[in-house]
Amino acid sequence: MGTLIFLVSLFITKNYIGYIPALIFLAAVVKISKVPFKFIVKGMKAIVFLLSLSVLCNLFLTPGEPLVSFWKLSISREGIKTAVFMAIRLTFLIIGSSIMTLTTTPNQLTDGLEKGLGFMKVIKVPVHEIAMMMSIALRFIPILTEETDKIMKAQMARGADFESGNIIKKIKSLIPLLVPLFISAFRRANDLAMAMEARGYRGGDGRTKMKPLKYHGNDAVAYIILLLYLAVIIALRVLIK
Amino acid sequence: MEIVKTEKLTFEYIRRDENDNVEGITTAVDNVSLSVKPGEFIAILGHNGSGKSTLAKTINAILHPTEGTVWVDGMDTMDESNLWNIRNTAGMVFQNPDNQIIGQVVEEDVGFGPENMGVPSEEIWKRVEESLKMVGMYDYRKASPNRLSGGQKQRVSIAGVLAMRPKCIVLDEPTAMLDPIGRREVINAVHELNIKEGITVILITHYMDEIVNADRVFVMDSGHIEMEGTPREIFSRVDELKELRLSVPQVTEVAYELRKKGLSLPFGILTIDELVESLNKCR
Amino acid sequence: MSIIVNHVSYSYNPGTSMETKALKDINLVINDGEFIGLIGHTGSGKSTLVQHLNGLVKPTEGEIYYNGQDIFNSDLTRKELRSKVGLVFQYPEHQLFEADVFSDVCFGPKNLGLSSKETELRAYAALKAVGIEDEYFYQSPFDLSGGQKRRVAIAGVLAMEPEVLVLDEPTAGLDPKGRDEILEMLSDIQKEKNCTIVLVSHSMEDVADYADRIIVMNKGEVAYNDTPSEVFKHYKELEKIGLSAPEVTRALYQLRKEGFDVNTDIINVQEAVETIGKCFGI
Repeated sequence: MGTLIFLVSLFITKNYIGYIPALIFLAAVVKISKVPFKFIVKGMKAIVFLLSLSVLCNLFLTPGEPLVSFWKLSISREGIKTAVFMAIRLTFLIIGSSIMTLTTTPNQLTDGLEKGLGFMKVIKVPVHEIAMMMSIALRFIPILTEETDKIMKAQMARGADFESGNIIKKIKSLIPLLVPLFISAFRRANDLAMAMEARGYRGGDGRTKMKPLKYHGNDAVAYIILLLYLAVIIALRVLIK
Repeated sequence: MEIVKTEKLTFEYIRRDENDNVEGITTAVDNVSLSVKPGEFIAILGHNGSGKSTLAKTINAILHPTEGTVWVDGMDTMDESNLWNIRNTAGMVFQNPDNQIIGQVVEEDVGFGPENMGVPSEEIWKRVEESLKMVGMYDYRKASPNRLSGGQKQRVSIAGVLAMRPKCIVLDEPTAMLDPIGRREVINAVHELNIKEGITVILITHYMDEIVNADRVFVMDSGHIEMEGTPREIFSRVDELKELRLSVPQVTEVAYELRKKGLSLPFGILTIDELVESLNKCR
Repeated sequence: MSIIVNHVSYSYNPGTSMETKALKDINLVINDGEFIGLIGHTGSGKSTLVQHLNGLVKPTEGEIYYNGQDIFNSDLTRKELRSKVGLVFQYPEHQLFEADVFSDVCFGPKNLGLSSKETELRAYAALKAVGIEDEYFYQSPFDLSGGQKRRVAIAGVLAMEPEVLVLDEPTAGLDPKGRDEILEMLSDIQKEKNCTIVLVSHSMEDVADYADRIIVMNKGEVAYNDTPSEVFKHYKELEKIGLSAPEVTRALYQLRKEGFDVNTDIINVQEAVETIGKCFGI
């Protein structure tokens, strides 16, 4: 239910010292969500490569007073700072979002989004439609992934080569994959639109929900905590500058 | 009153070139008049491109007739104000099970129709449960549609239509993409709905064995209705069916050929048991 | 001898808790010039098996030999293998992508590195073999009817002039006449080019008339591997694994039980009419 809270909090972790409250907040959320800690660590393994890449980039490419230098590379004080900063930020981002995906079904996510952004309807943002699009996209991702695999194999059976060659050749070799994939996606979209219409779909107005999102007392508390957390981070940012 | 009635129904596809000039007109449905009584099980047969799918889509008001009229439970499909009532009265199931399931969980998908109709939440839950039980998919209510077999997906699609409490279901080649097990599952489920719930069924197919138990059969070719009758009457016209790019069940053909050779077998034998029984009588 | 499948097993996600065995210790020999029907319902492993034959999928265990060479462990290149073992996927028309029919069919031979003259000759021959007339050659493949699209797609593989042609459910979604036309066409191609055909299907009636041999797959294993009439003797067991012998064959078995002196090895309508007719002296 507190889906949105996460979404928002993720984007705010941009302050250096703000990491202290962020850490406390995250730890609390992990505890509440009852996701086993092992699971989170496991999830982290997948991004170790990305993490180290970003650390290395920041380490070597940030200009500043060189501390150690060999060949053309040098490590500066600023470099170390940014590298550590980025590493923490990435870690927090990943932990935060993985908790979200572990505790929330895609449908709850889109419902939450629809409700949370509901106020934007006033300024004519088609919130319901956006949420519906997201939910359909999520449903078709596995289908289209499977389809991509199948078309790829079928073209390989016709001697297509997706692996070798230079970039231009590689891009060219994607045409036999992409054209059928797009055609198929359009066909599916067409079918789906017809099926939705046949089942009486006519946009968000007058629609009821099978599983309406209800805000409980807990959610109100969560919102308050979130606001406090936001306030602390903003305050820190303003004060420390 | 008829649940579905068409009078002189014609539907034309207009093909246009890039500059929006009319390139040609294809008449998909040509002057079709038919009527379906509540509770009937109707089969519409025809080869690919015979116009049977187009006919089905005019019943659900997805397509509107170029000429003539379609009434669903007395409502003219040309009248915009009837649109949503028509779609709740005559539900539609399509060919590709993957392209008509909207929800990411079975029960959510089944609830999609009632949600659109503005049914209160509690009532939706009741309907979803009932509909899933009717097609024997209640145990899978929490499953992801991607993990189901083709036959199961198609039964979920049928449940999705049932949850709208229609009087009539139109199925547009629901088994064309399924294997024999899936086909049997779907056809059995449809027959059960017809018998137990009294829902009118209009089944569009080119599999002859699926229509053996229908009340009435229409055979379409190039937009026309070429034949009409009970399955037995239709299946006794083997040569004509073959001319229309259709086939008959193998036993029907065997009996037909034996009859031509002079055995006194009845017309339109449909099952193995019937063939064995009537051959026994000949001895 | 053209293809040998030796103790092949295949698992999804091997070594994890999600491991699922799609194929279990498969042993098969496919001889030159045979017409084989590979039958099984969805999930029986038949589609996974055929993707092994041209090296698209690598077996978890076991080897596959093409003309005596291990396809994953010899000088045989992937390209060579794929030109010798042509695989037509289910709904092959979904893989069409070129602006006109002829270029689409050229795609396969062009990938083999053939000269443009040779490529065009092969494309022409392939389109003729599947019965597409010259007037359609420069049309967009997307404007054709469903049956024509499928023929063009089959021509796309045929133009690589494979020695073994493997087709995964080539009749899916076609009407009865369209189905018969495709099967008839494949049978003609086989006679003319003298190639080996492996036809994957879930319908016995599809293959009964044409196949020299039927291989029945169930749950990743080969359940039966014999001539059609021998396989159909197990019509009761076939029923249990979601398949059925042709209706005429089942009818003849029932007639035999009722005391009619009919030949139960029969798998098509004409012969059934004859054998029943004999009982009545006609």
